[in-house]
Amino acid sequence: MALKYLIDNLIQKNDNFELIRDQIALILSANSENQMTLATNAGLDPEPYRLNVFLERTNPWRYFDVDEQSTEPGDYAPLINVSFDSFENDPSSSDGTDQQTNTAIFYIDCFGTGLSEKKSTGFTSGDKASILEAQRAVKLVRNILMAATNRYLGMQGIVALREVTEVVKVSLAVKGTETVPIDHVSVYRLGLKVRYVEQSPQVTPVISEGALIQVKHTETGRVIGSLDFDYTK
Amino acid sequence: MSLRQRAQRDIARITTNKSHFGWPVVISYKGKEYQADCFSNNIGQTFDSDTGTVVSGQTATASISVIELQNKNIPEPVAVYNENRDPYLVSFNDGLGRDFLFKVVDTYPDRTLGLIVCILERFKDGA
Repeated sequence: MALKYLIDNLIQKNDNFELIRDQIALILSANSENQMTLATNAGLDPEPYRLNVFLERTNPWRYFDVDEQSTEPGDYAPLINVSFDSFENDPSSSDGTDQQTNTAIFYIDCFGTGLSEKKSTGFTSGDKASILEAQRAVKLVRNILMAATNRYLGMQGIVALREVTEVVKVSLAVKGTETVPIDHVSVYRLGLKVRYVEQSPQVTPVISEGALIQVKHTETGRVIGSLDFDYTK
Repeated sequence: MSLRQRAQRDIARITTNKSHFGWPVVISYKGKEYQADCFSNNIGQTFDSDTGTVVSGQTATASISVIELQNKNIPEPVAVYNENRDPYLVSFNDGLGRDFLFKVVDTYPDRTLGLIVCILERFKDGA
């Protein structure tokens, strides 16, 4: 006898929180490239619009690190790391069978690096430069995600609402030690709340009984119905 | 010679002994360069973004004896915060032939024993 709690379909689909996370990263990456094109077309430097977008990385600032061929950091463009944090279910707009309404939190961490550098008189401070870079990155991210065209993150029907809940500075200062990192990296975290629907595996329907109904009528239009049933023992 | 003076001389001898852990560095300040021997470190560490404890990163220091500075007429290391002034720079290689240029961002002078620990950040010459 088949166990009633077994799902008879293989679960191969992605949940919508995964798709939304990937879509956020895609929107940021694609818009960064588009902004660079717009800047070039306007005769402006496109580099300030370049963002390196990553998904679910725990240590993305290592991308700023020295590559093995050089003693200088390899890439100064801000890093964006998109990660899924959590979701909460809204029971009032969910059912226990088919569709649930959830509110998910995604974190978009914006990393900026700055290098102390000689200038004609004096130098530029790496610590200030890294903070300004991270702020510039979070500005771009917020404008892209909150643009009217991204009202539903390109997923209308799944996403009902998206809003920026907070932008906070993440401290990377080393405490309790007498040293600081040689490379200045600053981080701002943008929290994005997304209200969306999620579906669940359904029971495969089984036809239990068949019924054939043929509606007949007389020439005057009076309905004469007939019913046939397929019976199974 | 007092014990304190002896300790200062011992520190100078230990930090400049290149057959042990002493290492040659080049100090650049106000358009002049100076050769010196001292302790230098350039190591990978870690720091955690939530707790602020060490999780990941690269740190570098240089620890130089006051007697070494005096013997070679080297200006005392300073952390220059005014961006319109010349920074105090320290460069040294890692023993594998790669040179690193750093700016002094903080100093921990021990004027009792005559040792100045310099906290370093990466610096780009721009040349």
